[in-house]
Parts: sequence; C-alpha cells; structure tokens
Amino acid sequence: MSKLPTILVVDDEPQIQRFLKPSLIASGYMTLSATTGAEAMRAFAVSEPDVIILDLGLPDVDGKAIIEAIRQTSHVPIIVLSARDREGEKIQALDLGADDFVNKPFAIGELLARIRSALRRRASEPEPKPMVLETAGVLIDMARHHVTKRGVAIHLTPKEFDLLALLMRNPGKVLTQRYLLHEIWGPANVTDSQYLRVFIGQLRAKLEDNPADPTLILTEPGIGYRFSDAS
Amino acid sequence: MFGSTIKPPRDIWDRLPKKRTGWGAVLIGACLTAGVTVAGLLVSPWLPAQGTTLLYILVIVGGAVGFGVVTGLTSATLAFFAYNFFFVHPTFTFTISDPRDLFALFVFFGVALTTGSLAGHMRDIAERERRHAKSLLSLNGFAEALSRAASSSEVAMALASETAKVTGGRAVVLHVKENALTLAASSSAACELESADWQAAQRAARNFAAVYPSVPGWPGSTYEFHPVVSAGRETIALLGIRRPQPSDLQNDETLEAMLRHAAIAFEKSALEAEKAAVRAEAEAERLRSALLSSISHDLKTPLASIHGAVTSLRDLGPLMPEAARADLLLAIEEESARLSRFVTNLLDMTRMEAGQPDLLGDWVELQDIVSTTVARARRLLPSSVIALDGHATAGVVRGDAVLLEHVIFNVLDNAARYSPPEAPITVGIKLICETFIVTVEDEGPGIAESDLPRVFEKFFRATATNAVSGTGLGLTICRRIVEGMGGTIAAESPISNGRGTRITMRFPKVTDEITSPRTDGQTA
Repeated sequence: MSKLPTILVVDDEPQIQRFLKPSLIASGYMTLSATTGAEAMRAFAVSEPDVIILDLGLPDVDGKAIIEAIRQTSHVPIIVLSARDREGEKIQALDLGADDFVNKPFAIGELLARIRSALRRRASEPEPKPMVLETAGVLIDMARHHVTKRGVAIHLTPKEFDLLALLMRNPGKVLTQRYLLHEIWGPANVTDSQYLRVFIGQLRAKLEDNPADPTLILTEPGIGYRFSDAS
Repeated sequence: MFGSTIKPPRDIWDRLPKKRTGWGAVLIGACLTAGVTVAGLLVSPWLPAQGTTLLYILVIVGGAVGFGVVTGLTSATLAFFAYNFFFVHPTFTFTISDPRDLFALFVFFGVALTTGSLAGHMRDIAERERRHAKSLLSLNGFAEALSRAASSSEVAMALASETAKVTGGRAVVLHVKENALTLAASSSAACELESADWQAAQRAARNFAAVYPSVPGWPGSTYEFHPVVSAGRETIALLGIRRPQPSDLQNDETLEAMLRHAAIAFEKSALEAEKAAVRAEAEAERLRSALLSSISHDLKTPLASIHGAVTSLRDLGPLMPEAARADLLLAIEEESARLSRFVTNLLDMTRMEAGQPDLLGDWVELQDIVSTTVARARRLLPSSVIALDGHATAGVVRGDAVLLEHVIFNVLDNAARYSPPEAPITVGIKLICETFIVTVEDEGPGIAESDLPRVFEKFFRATATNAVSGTGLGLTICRRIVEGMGGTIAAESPISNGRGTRITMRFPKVTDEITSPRTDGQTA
C-alpha cells in the first residue's frame, strides 16, 4: 500500500478520541481528530481523509449539518456514531448521505469492520456500475435480469429483482427504508414500509438458506436493510 | 357587565322612613288622623269647616308617601269618619242634616282614598327603583370580588363575605362533591352550623332547590340554603344565608344573579385548577425526560469509552506500543471512577428527595476536609491544576464529613470540567467573623449573567458549554447539603478579565464546643 488510509475522527468526548486513536494506528491507519464541527470542516478541507467517523452530538453545530456540507463536494465515506435509542437521528444522517452508523457503545472490531467495508466500497466506486455482481454465492446479472444461487437459477419478479440489485450494489452499506422505497416504488410511496417488508420477506424466502435466520439481507431495526458484504 | 357608575337616586325618596305594613301601618294612620283632627279642632274658629278637608288630604298624602299605601288608606278611612263626626253639622254625631254636606263628604272620601293609594304606589315604585339600583351596585362589587378569586376556596371566601355584606346577615358556603358536604367558607370566624342546618343543606343539595328556614321559634335550620348550579346542571356548592330578620327578599333577582355569578366563578376556578394541573404535569414530564436524557448521556459516555478501550486492548493490544496500552488502562480506570461518581450523585439526589438526612449530626474540622478533598481531586482529576490557598484556620462546623467532602469535590469537579485543563483552579479557606468561607475559583469561560441565578437549579447545565457532560444535579445536591448544614453557597462570574467563576460557600463556625455531640459521658 503506497499510502496509509487517513481517518478523521470527529467526537467532542476526549475519552472516545483517547482509545480510538491508538486503536486506529495499531490497525494501520493514519488518524486526524476534531472535537468541534469547525475543526472537522477544516481538517476535511486540508487533509482529504479517506473515512470520516462522526459523532452527531457536537458542541458547536449539529453533526447532520456537517454531513450536508461534506456531501456537497465529496463522496468520502462517513460513519456516524450514535446512541442505540436515537433511530430518528441515524435515519436523518443516512438520508443526508452518511454511509453507515455504529451504535455507542461499540467494540472496536465492529467499527474497524465498518471502516474496511467503507474503504472497499470507495475503492470500487470510480468504476462504472458493474453488470455482474456476486456475493456469498448469489450472482446477479444486471443486463440479463438473471439471478443464480450457487449456479441454480432463481426466478424473481421485476420489483424483487430491482430491490436485490439495489441492495447488492451497496454491499455492507445500510440503506434506509425511505431510500429503498423511493428508489424502487417512487417518491409517492416512501412511507409504505409494509411493501418493503413483504418484498424483503419474499427475497429472503428465495435466496436465504434459512429465511428465519438471514445472512444475506440483514435488518437494521427501525432503520433499514443492509446486504452482507462477506465476499 | 355592570357599569360602575350606577348610583342609587339621591332624592327625597331616599330619605324616607322604612315602609310599614300590617298593624303598625294602621296604627300610624290612626295617629296621624287623630293628630290632624285635634289640630283641625284647634284652628276651627279661624277656618271654614271645608278647609279642614285640605288638612286631612295633606296628612293622607304624607302618610302614604312616608309609610306606604296601608297608612294612606287607613288615614283616608278614619279621616272620613272623623270629619263627619267633628266637623259636619250637627257635630259630634255621625248624622248629616244637609244633603249637600253628605255629597261633599263622599267626594272628600273618594279624593282621600285616591290620593292615599296613589301616593302609596308612587312610594312603592320609587322604593323598587332604589332597591334595584342598589342591588345592581352590590352585584357589581360581588362580581368584581368573585372575579378576583382564583382558586375555588378563594371563590368560596369571596362568595361568603360578599353575600354577608349584601344581605347584612351571615353567610356560609358549602362545597358539594358526590353528595358530601364540606364547609368551604364562612363569613364569620366561627362555624355555627348545627345539625339542623346540615340537614337543611343536605335537603337543598338533594333537591336542587332552595330550602328556607322554618318558622322562627320552631326547631330547625336558621339558614336558608341556595344551590349553586353549574352549566352542566350539577350542584357545585350551597350558599347558606342567615338573614338578620325574615325578609321578603327570599326570591329576589339579586340573589339569583349572585348564584349565577358564583357558579361561573366556581367553574372558572375549576378550569384554572385543571389548567394548572396540566401545566404541572407537563413540567414534571419535561424534567423527567431532561433527567433521563442527561443521565443516559452521562452514563453512556464513560461506558462507551470503557467498552471501546477494553475491546481495543483485547483486539489490538499486541500491536500497540506500551505507552498506548498504559493510557488505555488509565482511561478505563478514570472512566470507571467517573461513572461511579455519577451513580453516587444520582443516589445522593434520590436520598435527598426521599428525606433530609441528619446533616447537623456531627462536628467537622473544615480545614481538614478541604485539604483532604483537594488531595483526592488532584488524584482523580489528574489533568487539572489545583492550588490550595489556605491559612491555618482551626475550628469546626456542624455537619457531615462525608457529605461535606462530596460538596467540595463536586464543586471542584465542576470547575475542572468547565475550564481548560491547563487553567489553574484555586481553593481558598478563610475564617472571617466566626464564618468559614470556602472558595473555589476557576479560569474557565465563566457563566453567562442570565444563567447565574439558575446554576443551583436541578438539571441546569450552562447553555454555552453543553458539550460538557454532567447530570446537572451536582450543584443542586451541593446546595441542599450546604443549606442543610446552615451554610450558604453562591456563584459569581466573571471574576477577572471577563472570565472565571467563583463558588463561595459559607459555614458558621461552632463557637461553643462543649456541647459537641462527639463528646460522650467522659466530659461532665
């Protein structure tokens, strides 16, 4: 690797910075830290980090405003740190363009996995949308509208196919219910989450080894769905 | 609703004696007639006989105006006979010789009756007008007094006292709730309701109708009770009136209007009470959720850093330099201590809420506590620079050593959290005029003037520094403890160059140590 990936940690709690910094360094990253929104924007502009870890509760500005500001110029992965009970805040952050979230308190391994996943997606981003994707034995051919699992053809309805394609194009990334509904069913249906539940259920029935214990299409309770990125 | 300019007409009618009815009126009529007859006889040598009729008419009109229609008619009738007897020829007999005299006599009788009754009616009309104006005026005051009352008990008080004023008697107000009666207000200090009165009140409440006193002299209630009925046809209260004497005002419109006003006032006060209860509930709810979010943030932050540090050490420990591992271990230690302090604060607060502990049970060497606490703070808040500026100030205060240490530590912890790490915190202790003064000064940004009075309030956290964690309970607990020990705690800011905060605690020095509770039987 020519240059170590740089991670910007934006959190006003010194104690969080205190363990994140040595852990990220030990995991082979360079770190930058910011404790306020203003510092974060400065660090982002000056050093172009590869991933931003952002706590939404900052003293000077709302963390969501930072996501908005960054998204105007950059697609840098943003991983949001937030309390488990604040779904609304997480959904807003994701809708504004954050890539992922980690609930506090978190084990360092969980955060590192999200960082790796985000970096992988970023690495494959500049290429045009691939026509064939494969994850955990599930192969989707966009051009031919064809899906196979371990070589066996799976029949999907057009909507099921669109939903699966959307999920597989974003492996490891949490997609909010609102986003999925908007993309598949259009802007008029963004609140009809029962459509989504039905179709996710149908996809799981056709693709999962055990639909009751899904390993491909994972639910983020109250937020949305994530397609496994275990490749 | 009533113009305050209404005044009773001030004219001759206003100065009239009280209206008479019954035998009193007849007697007055008789006296007046007798008087005029005597006067007529005295002046008869200089007056033609017919001239006396004019005197009679004058007295009949006067009697009717002054004492009412009964007096007027009595005087007219008696005058008819007296004139016949004393002045019509042949005198001193009721016989009349001249038919013209007979004619004149009956004309006189007709005129006397007409003027007597007319004058009496005029008087009645004028009196009614006057009473009406007076009742409007008293209603006006009544409505005003009731509208000033906010709570239901104030309405009851106003109703009782105003009713007593209007009727000139005594008044009581009874609350009715689910058929149970309670005395809400009384116009006189002592409650003089007897069992007969209560029974009458029960009857009024049950029948939704006024109950009047029994015949005077007979056993029974001396009060009349009027139900105060709400718009929803419910009896809210009973107005009991004991009039100075039985009167004919029992059904008067004034009372009706007063009862209507009272009903509106009671309903208004009930609505107000409901609104206040809703407001209080909302406020309590707001406090609860503020506490919850504050606690959850304060407990979660140290937990998150402990959890993160532990998993970092386990997963990545071998990849880290020794110094980084040591720092993570220290972080875990410090955060556990912080967590423990939050929990202690919360528990203290709960204990304080549950009941005041014995805060005066012991004697404490204050200087000792201050230096111990500073030492502890230096250990637990290693990033802060704490200076102790104390002179040797021996002496004890009355209090609880553990809680005192807790107070001083909380104030120090606050100073450390609200100021930059390198800015020194100065703790001072002085003894001035038998009062210990403990100060804790920091060089942080200070407290906004508008926030200063509220820093000791529950859940308050300075707005400008909301990044700092804390339940906002620390200083509230401190104030409770300090005040419980007979001391005071105050905040000043800024203290120099527009920066800094000074918390000043004052404790009275105990001057008479002989009575120390620590001394047991050995000192006699």
